[in-house]
Parts: sequence; C-alpha cells; structure tokens
Amino acid sequence: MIFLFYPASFLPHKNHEFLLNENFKNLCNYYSIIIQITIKEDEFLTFPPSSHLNNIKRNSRNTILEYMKDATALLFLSSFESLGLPLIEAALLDKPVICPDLDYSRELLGDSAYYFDLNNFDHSFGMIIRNFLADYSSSLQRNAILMPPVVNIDDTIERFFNVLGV
Amino acid sequence: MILIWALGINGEGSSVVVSEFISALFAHPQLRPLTIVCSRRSTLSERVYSLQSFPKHQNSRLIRLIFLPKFFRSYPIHFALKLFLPVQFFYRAVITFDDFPFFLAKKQLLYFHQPNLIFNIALIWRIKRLAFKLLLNRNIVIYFQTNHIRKAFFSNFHFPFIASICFLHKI
Repeated sequence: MIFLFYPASFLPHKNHEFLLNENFKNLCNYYSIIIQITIKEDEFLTFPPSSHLNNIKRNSRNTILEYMKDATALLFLSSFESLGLPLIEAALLDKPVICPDLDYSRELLGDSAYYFDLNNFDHSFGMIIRNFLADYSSSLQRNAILMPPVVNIDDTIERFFNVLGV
Repeated sequence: MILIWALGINGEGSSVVVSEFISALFAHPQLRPLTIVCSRRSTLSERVYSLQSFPKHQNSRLIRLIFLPKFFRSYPIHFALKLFLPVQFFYRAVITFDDFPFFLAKKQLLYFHQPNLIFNIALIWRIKRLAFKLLLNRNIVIYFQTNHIRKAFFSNFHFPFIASICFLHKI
C-alpha cells in the first residue's frame, strides 16, 4: 500500500476537489494508493464516500510530522503559497514530494520533486505518479533535496530588530 | 517597548511560524520589553498556551501577553484597528505578523505570509487587497520568506518605495 500524505486546510486554493476526480480515484485504486488528508470532520462529511481517502483530521504539529514520517511521500496540490511549509518539512525528513510545477515549489525544491502540471492534472498527474512508483519500487532516489540557505530563528529575530533599529 | 502583533493569525502554517517566533522570543538572551497580541480561541493561542515556557512568561514584567476576544479577528474590526490605532505613541517598533500593516506605526516590519492578498481573485480578497493598499506606507519594511512571493508582491502592488528583506528562516 502506498500512502500519500496531504497536510492542508480545506481551502479553495488547496484543490482538494482534485482528489475526487474520477480518473484520480481509478489511479489510486489501481495502484493501491491511500491519500491521507487533514481536514475537519464536518468538512470531510461533505465528500462523497471514497475508499482512497483517509482523513486524519486536524492534529498537533508533532502528530502531523509523525504521519509525514510514516508516509510514502508528500502530496501537495496547492495553487499558490507564500512558503509551503509541508514542502520544507518533507525535505527535512527526506521524503519524496509530489507537487505542482509552480514558482513556490520550484524555489524550495529545485529539480528534486515530482512535478505535475496543475492545469493538466488528469494527464500529468497520472504520468508523474507512474514515474514516482517506478522509482519507489526500484528504491531509486531522486536528486537529494537541496534547500536554499536557511537562517536560524534567533538570527532572524536579531535581523528583524536590526531593521527596526531597536 | 516593542509590539508583536499577531491578532489575525489563525491558519495552520502561520500559527506554527508565529508560535516558533514567540517561543524564541521567550528564550532570547537579551530580551527586550515586548507586548504580544493574539486572539483567543485561535490556532495560534492554542500553540502559545502549550509552549513549555508559557507559564514562566505569563505574568512576566518584560513580556506582556494580551489575548483579545475572537471577534477582533474579523476583518472590518481588524482593519479599523490597523487604520486608527496610534501605536507609534506607545511602541518604539512593531512587528506585524497578520495580514494588514498599521497605518500609524513609525517603525514597522510586516511579516508577509498571506498569498491570497496577491493571488486570490475572489471579490472578498479584492476588497482586502484594497484595504491592504490603503494601509501601506513608507515606514514599513516587508519581510518575505521567498523570492517568488516578493516578486509577485511588487508586481501586484506597484509600490517600489517600500523596503523589503527576503530570506528563508528555520521553523
């Protein structure tokens, strides 16, 4: 069984409706893929019954990170982000990432993610999931994820105070 | 006294970021007097209450923690506060973590992490974008985590006079 973890709130730009697409459902059933999502229970009740979806609800960050560790890969569907925190968390956990080919994901993950075209989801997602599964079954690693330089939080606070002159 | 304003913060990702900042501020070796403003019953307040160092700082002299009622998170009230609150009389500097900057702050750093203000085309976000534009002024420095959002911001808002910094920080 393949577990793709998609930690995101139920917001329009997070594109949860893609998960209900018939082709996507068939793909998940064919490859035994379970998508783990993190939305509120009442929001999940609005979804039609779907065997490929498992809602773990909203949880503490530690629990979310535990799920991410146990998942086969991170799935991300958002149309836009200022950062995309789960992408960084997945990179730090050395998890493969399947995400749209957009500026926010490219800036963080470079060539090391499995990118699909959000505007051509049906076709490109199927293709990318097959690539991912081929790599996964042959234990092939994508390029190591090279994160941009990161400043620690104490230095960030100092920089903020310096900018403000306090 | 420095004001850390996070009243409107309620999202998952933003609450993680801001609570990490608050935690680091609690542990900061050269702590400056701070007032931290959040809203009750928010994802952020839950995270702040659960910080190990929270009880120690709850009644500290250096850090004043203010939890305002939930209704202050509503955008119209929020906007009115940002427009009229004369923070420059009470605080030397402000770090704003939620969407709108203060109009009347002399020194302000706005932590910009609301992509809807740039990308969302829904009517409500167009109105918020207008409100945001009204509040922008020359005394603000905007912090961006990533270059793509900085570029998108300036190509959308056309405010070349606004100073900005951009780097990725650890969370």
